[in-house]
Amino acid sequence: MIFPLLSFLATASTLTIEGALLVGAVTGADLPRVIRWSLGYPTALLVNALVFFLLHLVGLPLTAATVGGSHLLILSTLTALSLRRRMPSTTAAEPIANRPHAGGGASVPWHHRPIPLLLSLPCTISLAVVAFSAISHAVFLPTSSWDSLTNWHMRSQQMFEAQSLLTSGVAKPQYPVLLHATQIVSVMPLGRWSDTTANVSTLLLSAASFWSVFLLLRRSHGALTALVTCTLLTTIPLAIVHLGQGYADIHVVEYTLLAALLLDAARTERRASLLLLSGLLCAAAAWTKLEGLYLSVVPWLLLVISSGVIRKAWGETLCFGLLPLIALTTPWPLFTLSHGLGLSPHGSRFGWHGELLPFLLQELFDGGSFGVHWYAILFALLVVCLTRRGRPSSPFLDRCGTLTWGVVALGAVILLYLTNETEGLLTGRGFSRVMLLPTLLLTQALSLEISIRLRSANGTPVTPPPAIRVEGEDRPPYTEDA
Amino acid sequence: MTKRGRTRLTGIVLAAAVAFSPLARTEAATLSVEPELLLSEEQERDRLETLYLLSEGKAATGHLLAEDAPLDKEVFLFTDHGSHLRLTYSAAKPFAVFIVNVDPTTPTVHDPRDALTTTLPPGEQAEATVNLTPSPGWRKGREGFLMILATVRGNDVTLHDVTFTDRATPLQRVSAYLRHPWRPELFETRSVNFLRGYKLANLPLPLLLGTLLLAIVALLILRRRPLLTAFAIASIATILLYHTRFSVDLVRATSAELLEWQTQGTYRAAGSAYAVAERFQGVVDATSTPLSLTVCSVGSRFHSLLLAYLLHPTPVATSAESWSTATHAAMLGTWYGEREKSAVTCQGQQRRGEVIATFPAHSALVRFTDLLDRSP
Repeated sequence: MIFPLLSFLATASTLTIEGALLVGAVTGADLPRVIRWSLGYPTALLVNALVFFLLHLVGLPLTAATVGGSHLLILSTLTALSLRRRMPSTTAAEPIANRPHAGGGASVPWHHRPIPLLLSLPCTISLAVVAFSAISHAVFLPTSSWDSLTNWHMRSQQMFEAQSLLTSGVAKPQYPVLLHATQIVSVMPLGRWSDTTANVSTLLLSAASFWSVFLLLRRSHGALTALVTCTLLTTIPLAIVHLGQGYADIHVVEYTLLAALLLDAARTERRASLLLLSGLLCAAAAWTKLEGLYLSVVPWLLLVISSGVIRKAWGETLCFGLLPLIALTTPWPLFTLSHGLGLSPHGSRFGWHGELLPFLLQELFDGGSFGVHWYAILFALLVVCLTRRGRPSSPFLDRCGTLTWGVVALGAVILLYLTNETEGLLTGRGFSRVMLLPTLLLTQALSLEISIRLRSANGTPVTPPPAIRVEGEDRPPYTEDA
Repeated sequence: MTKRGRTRLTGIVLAAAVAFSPLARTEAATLSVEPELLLSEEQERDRLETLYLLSEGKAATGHLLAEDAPLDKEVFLFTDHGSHLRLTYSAAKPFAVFIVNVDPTTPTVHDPRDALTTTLPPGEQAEATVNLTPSPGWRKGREGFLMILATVRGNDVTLHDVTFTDRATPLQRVSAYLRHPWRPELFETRSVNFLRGYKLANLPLPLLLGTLLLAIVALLILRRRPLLTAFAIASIATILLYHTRFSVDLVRATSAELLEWQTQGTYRAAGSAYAVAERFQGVVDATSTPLSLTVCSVGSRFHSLLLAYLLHPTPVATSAESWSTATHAAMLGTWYGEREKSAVTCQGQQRRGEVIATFPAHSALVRFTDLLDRSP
């Protein structure tokens, strides 16, 4: 019991350090250290997936020696880079909630106010219940879900024992391998497959991701908004169940939420580094499950291209946005196509089945997967259309990028299930899971949008975090659009 | 009052007492039944297993729900409505009753959340009144019921009369409606594809809370709150309200699973599969001879897939695929035999074997002893 725990902690720590250094190398000091560290593990898992992929391509077996050696090399390189850049340790941007407000005698701005107990207590209890369920199912209870037994855990185990990325003799070989690589690298030090270790490795991804979401929200919008938004995200019933043991749908969602927050921050703060990091996490979504490709990567590309066209910032859009994302996401689809595998295991017959719309609406509004969320989402969209945001300070896409992303993803899922994946809708064996991404994305976007409008309605200026002041460097302050 | 008046009054009071007393009811011999909500497949199997044991008066062997199971089922569709179902029947042995609301035009489609179940005792011209109001799909005036009677083969159940009556008072109806949302959420062992949610008088709880959200917004606007503030308060309140209800089931189910796992080593629909796998892995590790496992269980391929994952790379297959060639058998939920029993049967196929170990939930690990007989 002790050795598996220690070996997992060692693996997770190594990956976290590697990921934090990578995030630091990408963003410089644009993100506070605490956020760089919280994003460490999720980011490192993308690196890990790429390591597995590249080792397989060059014909090396996936062993503790080759994988560990690769990570050691990457870690050394990143450490050297970090020492060379000499990252600032004390002057990172403070969260917006900690910044002193102007006007000593004025009332405390909205986002500086302490979180009311009437809100903090139920939110905290809610999050505690979710944590109890997730930890119990991942740490103390065994795997039992059908797709885990046939695809996710089973395929990980088969590849672990074969020391190779198998393309035959496994279920759904065209599925990308980030989650499998995560589970395999976690059990490698043990020398044998461990169901609990595999589950804990993905639970840690969820925990780190949602913690990162909280920190990013707190940085830009304050602790109150961060707490409420995270509570709203984690009170979606089906999401809670998936946090314990799921089918990778929740992990695609986590990467997408992070990518969306960073994309918003990149546009608001005009920081190319955050755009690059957003692209990395979007690529991670595509490496987790195929849905990441068309529900995360495609909308991300559309948003970034649109924003680049409007701003005429072609260089930044290309070098920090399009090229890295395309470079990271195309290898796996090309790999599967080159092995004669289709991109989807579900077939490609398309035909319009509008008569199934009632089933779709029933699942969103009557079933138990989403609770009351879709009613709140619809009303929130109406409220957003009926109210003003105060004085618009940036183009529509900058203000409502994530909202647009959510709507595009929603449209894509509805279109898919009314044309191709009709069986998944009728039997309930896929629709609600895939619908998690648009649901959480819209919940996040609308929660932030309502929060921003409440702040502007209360007279609180909506400003981004300040530019980092690094000793010896002159960095231009943030300037708003005229 | 005169003596004659007092006597008359006393007589009236006594007559009223007799008239309104339970003894005075024409259904004095009727068995009043409060059915259970049918919450899971395991519960259905347990009920039918109990039924079989009650009928036979002894421990049974073999499957209860397999194709050759000694059970008969009869299906009835009614287009009536009512709060109670009165059955007049004759049966020599107990039989199970499953009742669910349906739309009479699409009787094959039903909401699993609405299913009720009970077991009725044997009797001749016996009467039983089943309360239908506990079903979350029940609502006053709603027409359409599907009723399934399940009984052991050879036990003829004759229904002499089936009547739906509206016996529930308004207070009882309201009380029933308020209990509907407390039907536990069904957390399936084998999938995390969707959740069924809660209903009240056949109305989805999300719809009711969505309406409540609108009502709260309207109320707050009438009290001069801005739209944004009103919406924020209302949405957070209704979402947390639903989550509170869901959390009760989540915590309760998770705690029960943890307790079951820690104390019995079983896990919901998987039963003793993990314990059987661990025991068999020990057998595999102790020998260099190639071994294989066939899985005898009820229903889908779930157990064989689970054991294939737990025991990888040892070959594991269903009994239909590998009963005659495997070296060992995992009897999961299908072991009713004594330890010394040498004949092992699964879905009509029989082999000789010896029990290595037995486990909770009618499970056992068996080593086939007729392998030498089968070798060329």
